[in-house]
Amino acid sequence: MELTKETGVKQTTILERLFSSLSGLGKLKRNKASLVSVGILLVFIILALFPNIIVPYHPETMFMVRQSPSSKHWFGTDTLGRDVFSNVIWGVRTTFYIGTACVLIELVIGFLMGGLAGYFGGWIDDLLMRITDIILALPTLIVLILAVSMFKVRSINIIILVMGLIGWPYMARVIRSQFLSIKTTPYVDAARAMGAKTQRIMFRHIMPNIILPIVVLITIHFAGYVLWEASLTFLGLGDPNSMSWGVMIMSGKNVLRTCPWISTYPGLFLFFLLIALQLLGDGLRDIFDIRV
Amino acid sequence: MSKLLELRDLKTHYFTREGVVKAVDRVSLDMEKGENLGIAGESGCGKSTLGLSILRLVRTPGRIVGGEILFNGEDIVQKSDEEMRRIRGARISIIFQDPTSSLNPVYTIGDQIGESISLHQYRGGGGVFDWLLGRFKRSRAREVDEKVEDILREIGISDASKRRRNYPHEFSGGMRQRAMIAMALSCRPDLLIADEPTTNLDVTIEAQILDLMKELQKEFDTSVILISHNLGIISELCEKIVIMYAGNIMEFSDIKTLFESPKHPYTEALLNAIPRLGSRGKRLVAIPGEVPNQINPPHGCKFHPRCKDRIDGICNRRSPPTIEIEPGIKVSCYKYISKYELSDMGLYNEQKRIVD
Repeated sequence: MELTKETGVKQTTILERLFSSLSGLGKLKRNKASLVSVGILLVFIILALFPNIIVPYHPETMFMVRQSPSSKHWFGTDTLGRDVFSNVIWGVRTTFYIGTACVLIELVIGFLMGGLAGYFGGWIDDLLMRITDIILALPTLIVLILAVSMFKVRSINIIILVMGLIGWPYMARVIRSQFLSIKTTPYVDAARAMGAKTQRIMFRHIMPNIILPIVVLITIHFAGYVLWEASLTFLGLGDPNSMSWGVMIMSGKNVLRTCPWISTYPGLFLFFLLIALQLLGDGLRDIFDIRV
Repeated sequence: MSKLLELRDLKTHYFTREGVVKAVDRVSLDMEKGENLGIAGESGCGKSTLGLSILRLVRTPGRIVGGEILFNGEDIVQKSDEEMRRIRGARISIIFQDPTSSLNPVYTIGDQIGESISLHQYRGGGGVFDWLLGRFKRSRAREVDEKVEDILREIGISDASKRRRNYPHEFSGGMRQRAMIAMALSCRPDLLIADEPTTNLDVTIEAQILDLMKELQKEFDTSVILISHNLGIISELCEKIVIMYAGNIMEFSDIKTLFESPKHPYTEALLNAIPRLGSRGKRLVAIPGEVPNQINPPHGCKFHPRCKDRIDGICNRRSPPTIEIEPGIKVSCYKYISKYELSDMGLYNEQKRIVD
């Protein structure tokens, strides 16, 4: 809030409105599991923002190979002699980059497909939803492997793009169903009766009212994308230059018996991140009573 | 006086899976400038659809299938969507029945009233970008805010600068409806359509809302179409009244005449079903039968199966024409058509025995 000089009247900002529409979040406190998951996620976010302050070594620095965990190398060193702890912490950032970018792509396509289908209905709805059904009917992992292996370059951005282009159908469906239910509310009618344009009705009157179910879906899908990336990398289709957990798990797979720490620690981090996201998604879903 | 609104054979039909519902079927009526018109009828008689048709807000599967809506002499049915958008809110406004769900829960009251102002009074107002731009242009935002506060004060909400920032759930039902009226009248439209504005409010609030509407209507020189099933409310505000039944207009009259001497048998039956002061001990008379199925309405006059004055062989054959029996009073009923005219219409001779 800020005070304007002349009137002393507080102006509400867009951010405040967003928060007030999310005020149901307070109920999270009652759900222990999701409270814990919020805590874990906060730690992860800090790690993603400031890995350079936290890690003891630059992730590319080489030491003796395959050292077991010690006070010098908390999680040991990998087959190339890099400090596993530093790599895992830097991996948080990569992981968040993958999840966020994929979710953004998903949101854009989901809003276009679902929003237009739900708002206009009729043949537009039929057409867009059939396209969605086709994407849904594809065996996701196989299509992912095919699509990624078509590219000669192994780049994290290509993987993100492919995952985003395959992962949007559920988002489109949820957004469509929300548009369907909100577009018939009297306040949308009232906005139309006031002479508001279609785009204004879609963005200003409908969208803020459907944020909550989308937030729930985002938490779940975020985890899904991270897992997909790890799976692709494990199958040898990852970007070897990226500092993702999938690459690290992969690199330790041949020495799992003698040096389990190389794969185990990134695996544990992946596990905790996924479980925190899933619990948060469940908690939010309970609060807002949303069926995804 | 010039005509503000003329409906000519307006037809709005809903194309449902079961069949076509003729919610508004060949409705014609006139409305003078500065005059208030009430539209009364049972639920499902098409009065709300009529109101929505005037703003072209009927949603699929409904559609205006024929007729003209002349607003200040211009046909609204022929207008483009963009022209229509400029009319909505600025020249014709509508208030819906339920103020609670007619306000967007995520915006403050002030934001919503301000939106209706800036939509029509500033150029370009429309998209998100314009809106964001408007937000960042402080001077304009303040100007709108001041107007909003003026309006809030005008509708009797004290502490306007504070209440402006309240969300709809922080307002009471009556205040929400007042805010809706403020939104509807903020651009001083020529015509306000009020669709059951007091149905969800209790009686004392109802009186306040009606007073407010009367006051603002005089001040802004706005004509009102009041849609209600409550004849009492209509008589408070309106001079003219239309009685609708199953998509047709049964009687068009002025309020006084309607109450003193109802012409149409349906109006008569309707008035007998309302409790009145000073008529102790008299039983209320319910109208026998049920509202007809709208997909397969009765042949001829749609009211004839329930009508006490029906003439078999005439009323069930063809829908009655609308005739002006006194200046300004129009009725659709065979009761007021003489034998000679009936025979001209080819209805009398065949049924001679029954009519005689």
